[in-house]
Amino acid sequence: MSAVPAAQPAESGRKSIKRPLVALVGNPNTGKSTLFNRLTGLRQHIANYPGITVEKKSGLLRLPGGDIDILDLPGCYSLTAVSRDERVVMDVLGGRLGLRRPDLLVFVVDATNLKRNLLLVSQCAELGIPALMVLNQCDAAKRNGIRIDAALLSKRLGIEVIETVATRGRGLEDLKKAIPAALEKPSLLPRIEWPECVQHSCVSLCKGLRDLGQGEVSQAEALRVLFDSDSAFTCDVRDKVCLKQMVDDAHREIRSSGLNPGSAEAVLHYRHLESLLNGVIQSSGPVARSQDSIDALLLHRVWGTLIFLGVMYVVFQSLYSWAGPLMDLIDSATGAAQDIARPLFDGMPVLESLVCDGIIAGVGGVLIFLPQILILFFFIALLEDTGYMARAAFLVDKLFSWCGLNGRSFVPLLSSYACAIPGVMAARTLSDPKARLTTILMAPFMSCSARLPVYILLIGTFIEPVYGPIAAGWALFAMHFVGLALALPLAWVLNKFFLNLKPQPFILEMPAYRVPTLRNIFHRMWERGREFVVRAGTVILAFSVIIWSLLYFPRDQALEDKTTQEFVAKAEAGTTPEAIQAQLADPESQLSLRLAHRIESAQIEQSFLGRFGHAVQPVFDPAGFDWKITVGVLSSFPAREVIIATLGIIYNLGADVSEGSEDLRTVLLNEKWTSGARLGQPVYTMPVVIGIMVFFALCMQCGATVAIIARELDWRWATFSFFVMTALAWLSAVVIYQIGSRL
Amino acid sequence: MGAAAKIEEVSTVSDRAGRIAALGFIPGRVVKVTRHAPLGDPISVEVDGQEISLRRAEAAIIHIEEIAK
Repeated sequence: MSAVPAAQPAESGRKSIKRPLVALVGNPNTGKSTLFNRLTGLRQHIANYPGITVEKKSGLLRLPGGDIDILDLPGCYSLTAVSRDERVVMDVLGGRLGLRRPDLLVFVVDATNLKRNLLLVSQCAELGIPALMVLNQCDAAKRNGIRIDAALLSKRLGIEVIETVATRGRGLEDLKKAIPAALEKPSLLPRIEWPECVQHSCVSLCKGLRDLGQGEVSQAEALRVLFDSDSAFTCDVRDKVCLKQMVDDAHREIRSSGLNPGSAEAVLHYRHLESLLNGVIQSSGPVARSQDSIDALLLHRVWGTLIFLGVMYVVFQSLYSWAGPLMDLIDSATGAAQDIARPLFDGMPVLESLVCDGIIAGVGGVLIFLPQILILFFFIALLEDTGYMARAAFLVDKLFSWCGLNGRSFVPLLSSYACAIPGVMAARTLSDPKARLTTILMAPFMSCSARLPVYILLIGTFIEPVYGPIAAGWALFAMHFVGLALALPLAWVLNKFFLNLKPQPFILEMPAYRVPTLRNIFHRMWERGREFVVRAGTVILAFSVIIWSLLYFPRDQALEDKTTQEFVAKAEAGTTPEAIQAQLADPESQLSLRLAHRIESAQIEQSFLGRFGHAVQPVFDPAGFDWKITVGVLSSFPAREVIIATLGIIYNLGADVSEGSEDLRTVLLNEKWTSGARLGQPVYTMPVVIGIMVFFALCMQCGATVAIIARELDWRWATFSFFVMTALAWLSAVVIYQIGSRL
Repeated sequence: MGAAAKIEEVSTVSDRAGRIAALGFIPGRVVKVTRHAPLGDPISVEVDGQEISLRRAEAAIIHIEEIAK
């Protein structure tokens, strides 16, 4: 069902019965998405628009008279577009992007702010697509003392106007009747009367753009070229000089008739709207809005900041601690499934390992992220629906604005401290494509909880015994800031020099506070959870199986026999061969366990990944890593927490060791170089230990994060992120070792 | 802060003029700065009965004149 592509072959299928396409258009915060959810229920499909990273939400509205396709367009204040991402609304409405032109537009308009909402409507009138209007949040408008004469508005606009309260589902039935009626009997909005200078400029721009090889340009698109400086509609034009000349000429013409080309469009539209709305809105004077007194507290310099910290603490704790039991449950369920599956493949060791260690472990590795994703989206839905999210962004914007992020980056980055997967997904709450991209790329730098075992093992083994528990605490604290300290300047550099995206102004509307509905919150959780499992889960599972095979193959029976012989020969001193054989016959005995660990260690050393570790050890040599650390680092690329188990296997302790294991700590303390210039010296010197920790702090050792970035952005960005982070990690480890070992 | 002012013009030089104007910041309307964020930026501005928050750099393109008392 989810595999069905949303974009139907546009006009080609003449025979197939074409469902009418209805697009929802409106400003942000109008309740457009709530309405979309109400209309389509769970029959939704989320994808990206072709070629760009904007989310495309489409769904099916079931009506007795026939089904209708609904498209939820991104919320925007105007049709202004300086980037390809922003062009989406215009492109859909103009029937570009290989998509079908909508048959009907449903404008979702916030009744508390009618005039500003109608600016977008007035701009869209230019497109000549039949329309109807939903006047949403009528209850809030009434509370604010605003009375709207919907009948008069409908008469003036020439289209049907439906009053709704989407969150409560009021007016929904009227809308379901109005949509097919409007499709049956289409009505158009009145177009604005442009002054002579604008009309003339549009005609000459259309002609000029056609001469520049842009094909047919509609009046609506010509208006965008005219009024948006550096419009996204001309990004394909090669002759920029000629284009600039054309636009400058048009601007000169507008200026000569006494208009400012920067604000002319808005001024003319608002003038047009003033006359349309005359007598429609009756406001009983400035009423003290209830939100003002709450804002006085929540946006207060001191109290507002404290409340913000408190709220974020709860969000973080819930991700970091409360998700723990659920994750443990999934973990033990995975273990149980493996235990059940193992006996089924008796005598088929390869299949047994593939199913248990590859597939079941992989599925468990996908599901393990679900608790955090669901919890985070519960909070995000709660914060957004109550109206607090905009306030939070307002409070902390300054912390992030200098490096190209914005106030809305806070929640994604904070949640990345628990896990980057929900963090990257949470970046969807950023509407500015540039800030969203930067936030996603920075999220994996935050020190997620999977890095903790490495810190605990190394700090507990090497720092705490020497420098005491206070230093150990500070070391752990510092490790959590390494990523952040590097990420923000990196974001600045990225934005300044590499990202060829134009920044958008950071505009925040303070929405009215509302009581959230459980229905909406659960819808958000379900939607994101399903999307993660379906879209990212499959990739993560594939990664898991690939890495399993690299660690498993080639499996060598001769090696196992040889290791067993050596083991028996070594153990023979002091005991009889019979006694050894007797102990080995019991698979639970100490000796059998040690032999099993020895064999596992020998197998991993000559597996594809083990050989690769040997081969690339010279690359990690400048960081002071021996081949064992190198294999540990390499095997941690799919998931960094694997390092502990890998070290356990390599040091003959088995995969079941934990970061607190005394055996593992003793082995690490006593590990010495067995060859090369450092023969006999300890491997884990302080610079190596710090180097490993910083390497883990910075490296993109998480297949799931790579997969989710590829899903949210694309594979190019995922690859970029992977290589930049890995290179940075390597460089930092080398610098630390080279400087540290010379001190 | 708190005092009302009238919008004189939105700077044409800025590539954001159209966007800011579309929000309702058009010549002749009355605006009022209602709040600063704890770190000084962004600011919250009231225009035409709505509250919108802008960064100072963006608000700077809105030229205002004081309203004579």
